[in-house]
Amino acid sequence: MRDQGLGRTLGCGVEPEVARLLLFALDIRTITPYDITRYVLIMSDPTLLVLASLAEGEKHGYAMMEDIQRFAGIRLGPGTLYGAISRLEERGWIRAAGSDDRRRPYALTGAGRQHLEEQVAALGGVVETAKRRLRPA
Amino acid sequence: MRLLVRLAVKLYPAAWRARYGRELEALMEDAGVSGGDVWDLAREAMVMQLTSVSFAKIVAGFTLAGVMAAGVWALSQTRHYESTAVMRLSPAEAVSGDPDVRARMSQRLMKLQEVALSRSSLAKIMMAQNLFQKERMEQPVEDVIEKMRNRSIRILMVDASRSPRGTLFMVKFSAAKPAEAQAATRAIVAALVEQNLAQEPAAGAGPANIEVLGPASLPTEPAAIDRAPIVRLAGLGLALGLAFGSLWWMTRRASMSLWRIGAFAVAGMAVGVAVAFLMPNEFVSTAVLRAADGPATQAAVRRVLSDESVAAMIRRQGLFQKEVGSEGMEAVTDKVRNEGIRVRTVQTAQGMTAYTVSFRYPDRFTAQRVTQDLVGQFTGQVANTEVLDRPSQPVSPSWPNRLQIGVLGSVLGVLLGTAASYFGRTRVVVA
Repeated sequence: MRDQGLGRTLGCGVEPEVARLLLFALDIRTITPYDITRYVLIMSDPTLLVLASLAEGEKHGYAMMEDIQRFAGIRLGPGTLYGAISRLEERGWIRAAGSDDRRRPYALTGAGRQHLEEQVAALGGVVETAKRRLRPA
Repeated sequence: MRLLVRLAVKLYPAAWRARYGRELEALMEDAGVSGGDVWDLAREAMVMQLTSVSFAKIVAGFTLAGVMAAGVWALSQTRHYESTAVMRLSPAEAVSGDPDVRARMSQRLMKLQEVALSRSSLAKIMMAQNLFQKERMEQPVEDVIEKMRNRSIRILMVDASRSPRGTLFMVKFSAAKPAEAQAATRAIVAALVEQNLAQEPAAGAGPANIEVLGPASLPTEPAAIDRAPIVRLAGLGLALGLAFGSLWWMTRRASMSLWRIGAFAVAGMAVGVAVAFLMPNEFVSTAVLRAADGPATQAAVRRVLSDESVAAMIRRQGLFQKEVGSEGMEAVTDKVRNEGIRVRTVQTAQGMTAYTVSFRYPDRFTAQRVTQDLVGQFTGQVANTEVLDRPSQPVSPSWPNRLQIGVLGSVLGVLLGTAASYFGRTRVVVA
């Protein structure tokens, strides 16, 4: 069941076998390898940033780029941004919300909102764990 | 910069460009473009090309890999130089109107080759000419001699119509250095001439003159690399591309793990290739006979393949000496009769019955010699037997077909991988 959950959480085509290999390779016992793997994979994927930006409402590419730079301090390049947009649209987590084909706005779908909530909860758990363990005894 | 951006955008898959190209342009108009953005576009385009696999890309990729492997193979091959001498064997006393002169001379040439290319003769040539120095340091001399016989020396018959008086043939030797090839060819020619003088006239063959029409040449250009493996490797790439492309298409529809199937396929191929390379080479020499008397030929076949006859031939030709020592003559006789000798009946174009006699052995010269022996036994036992095709000298091994075994291993791996993927997935769903 854990593998299925991991596969669903990663949601970006990572096979459970690959995830298990990563767990083995990390071999960290203080924070569970499962949490670390999930955290690392989430942070390395810009799709989370795009989802977080669209959680506020519909935005087109340039608006997303500006918003992400404002709240995350990261400037996504045009290739990275549109690569993430196309992957998210393919998975049904966002949808094109307008007909203008040059500055087309995008919106979060129900599945996308649920996915974002799961990711944020997982990330929150990792952050809380790290904070608690960093607290001086 | 605009040109670079345009080039980078062109790297994306066409379908992706059609969907997002105009939006991407608008974004770059609004946000401006830096050198880092060009790299970002190019990198993402590459990732997209690599991750958005398609049937055509898989086929093209494998074909390209096959062509590249063929190129690497061709470049890694040591270029060999081939020296050639042309010789003629003819009866010492010309007998006008003798129709069997060429057959008799061919028979005599076989006898000459038997001794001139024997292990002891080749060992002398190898030592005298200092051939295969490196190989001799790494491998047993017996193995080097076998390789020399199987790979370096070729004796080819020339079109009989060009030499009505006897048998015209070429002696060829290939070596890494031109002078080495020439010296070895000369030595083999000398050994054949020496044997012709030393050998007693064979029964029915009479004394013969051997002439060197063209002395051993000094090659100036390396011999052309055999193109067959190059074509085979490129073809293998195409075939694998088609197979994996189809597999990818099927797994995509059935939601299976392509990684697992691919890993099994690679493992299967590795095992297949390893097994194929552990197998010894086997050469097959074949002759075609025609006999007027069918029942007599059938009886002769039974006699030739009888225990006593096969055992006598094994002793005479010194076949499978190690096995005779370890397993006994009876087992080796069975092996030779069941796996080595093959006699088949074929219908000729003229509606007559002919017999193909073949023999399989790890040494190509021995294979030819034994086939010659078998042919001699048949012709000796059945009157009016005509040899349509003399025992051939096999050039390349008939077994193992390493390419075929490697492909078979891959196919089995794919099947196992598909099964593992299917059952593995089922188990996760159940859990």
